[in-house]
Amino acid sequence: MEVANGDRSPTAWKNPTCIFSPTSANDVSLAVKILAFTGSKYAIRSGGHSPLEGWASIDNGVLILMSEMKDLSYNTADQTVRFGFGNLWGDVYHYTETLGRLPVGGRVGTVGPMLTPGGGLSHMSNRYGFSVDNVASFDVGTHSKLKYAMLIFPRLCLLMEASLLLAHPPSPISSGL
Amino acid sequence: MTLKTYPSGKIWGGLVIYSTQYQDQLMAAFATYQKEGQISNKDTAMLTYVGINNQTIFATYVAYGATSCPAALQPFFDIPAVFDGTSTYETFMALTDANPVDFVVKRWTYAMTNIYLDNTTYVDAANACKEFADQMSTINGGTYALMPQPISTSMIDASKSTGGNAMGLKSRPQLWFTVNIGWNYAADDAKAIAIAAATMAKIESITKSRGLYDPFIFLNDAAAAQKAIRSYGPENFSKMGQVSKKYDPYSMFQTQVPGGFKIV
Repeated sequence: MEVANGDRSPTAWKNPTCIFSPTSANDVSLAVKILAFTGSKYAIRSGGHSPLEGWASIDNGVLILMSEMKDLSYNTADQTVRFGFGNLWGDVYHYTETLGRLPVGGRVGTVGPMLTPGGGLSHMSNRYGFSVDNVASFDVGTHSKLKYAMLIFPRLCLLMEASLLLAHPPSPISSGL
Repeated sequence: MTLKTYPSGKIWGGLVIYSTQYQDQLMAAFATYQKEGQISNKDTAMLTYVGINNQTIFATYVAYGATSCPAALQPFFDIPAVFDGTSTYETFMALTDANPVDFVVKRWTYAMTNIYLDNTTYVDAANACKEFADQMSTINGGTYALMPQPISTSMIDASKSTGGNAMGLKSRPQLWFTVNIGWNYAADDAKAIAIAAATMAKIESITKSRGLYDPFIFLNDAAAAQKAIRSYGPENFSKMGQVSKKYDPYSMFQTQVPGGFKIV
């Protein structure tokens, strides 16, 4: 139960049948293939900040915890930071600020990166727009219309990141959206 | 996910605490800031919680690249503070780590509505919340905090210029007016959530009567019953439906994942 609920708002506490904590994109891809096949209900959690019921946990279903997806790297060439959904903004900022850079992200370090596909109001928004406007790419695509996909599929974003679209519907966003 | 980054460096700011006896002045300061400081200085921002039934306002201010309080934020510093923790920090994380805002609330949730810039209406909207804060006080562990978030046209223009206006925002200064409520027991969930919804209805009756209501719902602060995606406007809503059909042909994310706002 501690893993299932942690210190999140009890309004969001649930009792999942199964908790899966992927450590690689392939793990997530496999999980989603299985879930698509079985038709099981599932929930996905990144930072788990949301108090809304069913958003980041589930009763009688599978909870996918992204907490081990902690990759975090900076690309000097295009000045972007790439990070897995197991990081919180504090993790990202602590890292990029050692390099003299900041992304347009959450206003407190304890919130997770699912803030971005919700729109994402940042302390830097007045100059650079919302967090969702500052996505350089997902692993599956860079087209400008990506923003629409992110806003419509907030939960999907977590899985897109882990190549869901390579695994499930056969039309990669990178080529068409 | 890969995000663009921007230069960072010294930052001025920190936590300021006020008494709610200055709530009217604070709400008016938001209007002044939106008319002046937020336009003239794009490197300023704040995160504010007006704890009505705790009689306490917590406000964290930031000014990127500054080493003292910029003129843009002066309206907020004309209000007498109980505590002023502002200082200059080497990094944003140093500022954040030095100025924690810890709330002791057990169960909590939020809801939001959107108000076009108007000094009087900002003050009135916050005052209209008093009766709902009082209702929360009758619930065990009840807390009630406003989170007024000033949105500038420069934010909206920046958003439009990068991949389109997917959220359907109007180019007009606005206040994303969020209420955060907290309480102790599951038995009070429905009552608490209804108080947040009643707050939104009350404020929207005021803003609609004055032509200052905007239907946009900020997804990150939306209550479960609020239709965030529909609030992006008919064109975006329709486009998102098409995106869903194309990339989620089995409607997995509409049906197999209970969480998240749906295309409804």
